Amino acid sequence: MLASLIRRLEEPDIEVVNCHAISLDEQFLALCANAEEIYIFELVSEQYQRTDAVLAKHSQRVTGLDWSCHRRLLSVSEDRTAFVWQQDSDGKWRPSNVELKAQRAALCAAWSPDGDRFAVGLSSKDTALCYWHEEVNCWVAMKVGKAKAAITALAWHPSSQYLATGSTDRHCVVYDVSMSEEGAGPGFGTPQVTEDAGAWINDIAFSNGNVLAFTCQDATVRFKSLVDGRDAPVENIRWRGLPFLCLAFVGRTQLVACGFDYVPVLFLQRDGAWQVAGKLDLGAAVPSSGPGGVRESYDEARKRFRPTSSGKAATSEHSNTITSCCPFKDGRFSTSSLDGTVIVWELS
Amino acid sequence: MAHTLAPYLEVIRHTLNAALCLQNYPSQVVERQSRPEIEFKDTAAVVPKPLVIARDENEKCLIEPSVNSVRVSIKVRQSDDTEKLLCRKFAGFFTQRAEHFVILRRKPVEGYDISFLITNTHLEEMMKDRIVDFIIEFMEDIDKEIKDLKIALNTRLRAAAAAYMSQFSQRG
Amino acid sequence: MAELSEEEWRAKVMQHKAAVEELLKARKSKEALAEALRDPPYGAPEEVKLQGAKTVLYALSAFREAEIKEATEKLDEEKQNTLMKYLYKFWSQSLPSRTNAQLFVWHAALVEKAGTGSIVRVLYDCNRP
Repeated sequence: MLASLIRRLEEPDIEVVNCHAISLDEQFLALCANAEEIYIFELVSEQYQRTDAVLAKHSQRVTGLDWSCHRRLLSVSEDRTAFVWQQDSDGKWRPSNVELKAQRAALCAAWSPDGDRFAVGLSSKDTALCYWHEEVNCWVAMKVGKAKAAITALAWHPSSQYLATGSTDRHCVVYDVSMSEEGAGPGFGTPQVTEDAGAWINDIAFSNGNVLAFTCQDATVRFKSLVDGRDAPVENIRWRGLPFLCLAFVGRTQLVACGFDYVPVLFLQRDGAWQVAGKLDLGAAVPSSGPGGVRESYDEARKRFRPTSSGKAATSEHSNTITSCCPFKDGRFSTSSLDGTVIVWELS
Repeated sequence: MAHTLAPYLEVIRHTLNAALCLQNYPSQVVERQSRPEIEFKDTAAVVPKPLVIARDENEKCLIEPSVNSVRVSIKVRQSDDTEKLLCRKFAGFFTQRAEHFVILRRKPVEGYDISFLITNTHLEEMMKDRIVDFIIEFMEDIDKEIKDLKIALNTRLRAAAAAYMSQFSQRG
Repeated sequence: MAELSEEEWRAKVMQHKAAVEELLKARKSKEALAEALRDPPYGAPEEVKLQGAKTVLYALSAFREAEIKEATEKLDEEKQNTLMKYLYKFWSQSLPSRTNAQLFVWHAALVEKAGTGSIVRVLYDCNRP
């Protein structure tokens, strides 16, 4: 499968990227270099330029980042806190507090598609669902669900009414999280769908076509179409390589999965059945970013300094595990890796 | 075919490749800490059952996976007392210098001669292929080393014996 | 999957064993292997699992080294994964070195056919035979 590389970000002082997020309009990129600080990059003439903004409010490693459709940045950390950041008119990023009430580390974060609420997966085996409380001028959390182990993955239904959670206890649960003006709706917090995955869950995604996809450590991706109700069969697609850590729907019938194979893998729905389409290959095409000559010599140099072992040629653009992946426009998505790079891809 | 080391090491290489899929995992039990799940076993769900790869009872490899750490233990073939002694000395030499080897565990797992502990932070700093290569090469080397040491030891014994005996033959 | 009692599991495993022996007698080793790997006794007590493993090992021993590669190619994805799980089970059973060496050949053929993913599924899947 061919894909093209839209842009690539590599900073000399960033050696490991453990999570990143790009705003829906691609204007801003937030990333965490496996530490407490968050760096903000801005798109200037088709390349991400580092801004002076360093968001340093957390006291331990940041584990999750997400942009809302209103261009607010949510960050969560192992120090059990979360912040919502918004850019002021003077360009500064200001945090607003979140009353997370977490007993243990926060592991993942996701804004609802309508941008009004967000969910935080916690190591204390539950999920914090946060909304803005006008009276106390702060984001307030409500707890949803109780798993047998840490919540490692979250995904919102496009309607913002349902939240899917994945846990290391092997279960994937979709909760009703509808809320009205007065507070929680009548069915709030009730599980709608429960699936046993056989191994701990690494990530979940919801498509616009009502398909729930989840991937677990046994290198499988499972699809469940919720159009046919909660008892619909689960399609279990096995991958012949290593497990995936993150999933992203890049279209109704296209899903990208990335993880320990260092390269995104595309899954397609054809004739109603999901299947592996293969690894995304950049082909021989020179990426569009920067002048070609410079880029080539740079690649040459990089190869010299990072020789791959046992004479194996580098087959992908990343040289270590891909830890996060975020979709934006149709066919476009970005990946960040432990090798310290962030890449924006486009399916061709 | 049945007696070469290569197929055995190849199985271990593939298994390590699959087992070294580690991620960051803050402890569910202790606040503000991440610690190797395979050592502390805080969450049973993220510590799958261990695997054994064996050539026979005397030469095997134990791989204990978990979400953020893997323990690899090796039992080296020791066919006689000399080899047993050499292996103990050899393993002792390494474990006393464990901090130089980063992934070496100070104390081997019960029933094995030498253990490695690899965590997700190692994979952030080092290349996974290199770690696997290191362990495989280590296994090749320790096998060869013990055989060489044994030969050297025997040669010296013979030389010493010959030198000692030579004084009697001169007199005679 | 419905919960079976120990008796039912035992009956099922014995049934498998008989079918495998029948096929081996007819020199249909590939069919015998497929039969041995069908429907592994994941939920069964350890003693029954051991009996199931014995049947698989018996079916495996019918192949010569040159036939192994072809035999793995005939298995479907599910059975390749199951066989991989059995290989690791056998190694933990202190079998003679000759048998273990034979199993290394099976392992190499399976990895080539089904990829590292099949080992990943042995490691992290909670169902082990």
